[in-house]
Amino acid sequence: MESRWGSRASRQVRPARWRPALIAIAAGDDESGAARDLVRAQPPGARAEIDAAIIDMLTKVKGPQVETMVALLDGHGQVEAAIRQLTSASAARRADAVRRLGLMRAWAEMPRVARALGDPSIQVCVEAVTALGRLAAVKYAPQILASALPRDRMFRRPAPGVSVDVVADAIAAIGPDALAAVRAALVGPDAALAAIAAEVVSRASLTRLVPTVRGLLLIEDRTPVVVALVKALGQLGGHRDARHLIRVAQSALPEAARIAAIEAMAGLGDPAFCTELGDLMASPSRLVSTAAAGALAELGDRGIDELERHALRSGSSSAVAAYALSVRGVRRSNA
Amino acid sequence: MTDSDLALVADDDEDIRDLVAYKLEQLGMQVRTAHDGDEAVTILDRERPTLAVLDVMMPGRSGLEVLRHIRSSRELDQTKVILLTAKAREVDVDTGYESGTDDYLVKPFSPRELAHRVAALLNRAS
Repeated sequence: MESRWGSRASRQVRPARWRPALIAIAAGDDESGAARDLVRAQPPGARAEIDAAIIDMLTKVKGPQVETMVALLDGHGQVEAAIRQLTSASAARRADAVRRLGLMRAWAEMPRVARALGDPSIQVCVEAVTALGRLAAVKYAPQILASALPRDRMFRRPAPGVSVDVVADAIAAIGPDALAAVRAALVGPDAALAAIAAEVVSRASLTRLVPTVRGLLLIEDRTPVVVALVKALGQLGGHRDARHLIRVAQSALPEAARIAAIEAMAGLGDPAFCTELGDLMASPSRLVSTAAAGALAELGDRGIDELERHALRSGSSSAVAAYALSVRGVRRSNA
Repeated sequence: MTDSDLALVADDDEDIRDLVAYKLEQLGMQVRTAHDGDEAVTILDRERPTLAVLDVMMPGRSGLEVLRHIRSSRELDQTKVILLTAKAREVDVDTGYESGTDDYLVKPFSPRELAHRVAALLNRAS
């Protein structure tokens, strides 16, 4: 008897007649419109399959050919169908409708997509954020940022917002026009929103906002915002930014902010403040001293020299330094 | 670039394989396709293509692992590599270049842009 797999292999599906035409369109090689006409000429019974293939293809290619693909979908009533589906009782169907409106570059439907940010389903909100990014909806950039806030007020119970990664991708997709909204959130009065904006700066690599981040670090004292700012500076900053980070590390701010600054110094890789980090190993906060030792272990020869100097001392930093050196030794032998 | 240039396209997504193969054939290249990293390595070792267009996240060996295989193989030292991937963050791009890729394109991608990069890469190579 033929095996199940053998049986499947023996009846391989032949590619649909229209597929080579769709590949030519998606590749941007249909100047004559012949491939488009061939796809259009397919019988109505093939439309569902064709539309699904085009929508799938829209997630993979970019360029002027997208307009041709969208026109084919529009000709099949797909934009109208997606609009109708926005009011479905099923969250999965609403999310799919929002996703398709974004993929079909339905600029005229941008307000409807933006309204989906207030949908009770987080799945729909995530798709709305991504769709608004695809639509380059700069007007809605503030709402995209705010979508990462916890939605407790809406649901009267803890409910997370959209992931900052999704928000960062949407902001990056909108491009430089979105920077004004991110900057406004960074300097605004809402601490949670400012922290989200700072996270977006680092995750979307918005290097043009680094000077704003640097400036804010001099005046900001709200812990979640400082944590996000130092992380952004650690990831995107230059060598001269180590002095901003060591100032936070040495400040009287809460531990979370000081530790984030120390870790950001390790990320920056600038060994200019090894002596200061060495002094922080004597901090009464065990978490701060351990973070300082960990950062020194990451800062090359100068960091190691500092750790060794402290390990030979009799002060409170000795044990922390010796432990950091020991962990480093184990890591190196396992590498 | 010559008509005898051979290219490998490795991606687990059939649409991407077909699109890239279509574009490379338009450039006069012969194309082999692989749907995972292990199949890609088999084709690379057997046929030594001039160009490999690799997805980063594939079943089996990842695109980066395939790339490292290419860079560690003396027989494949003439193979140019383009990573084609959804991983768009700066750190991902850096990892690609540190692993030895010649170019890096982010999905969604422009097939025309890919053709331009391939032409530039192979012309520069020749």
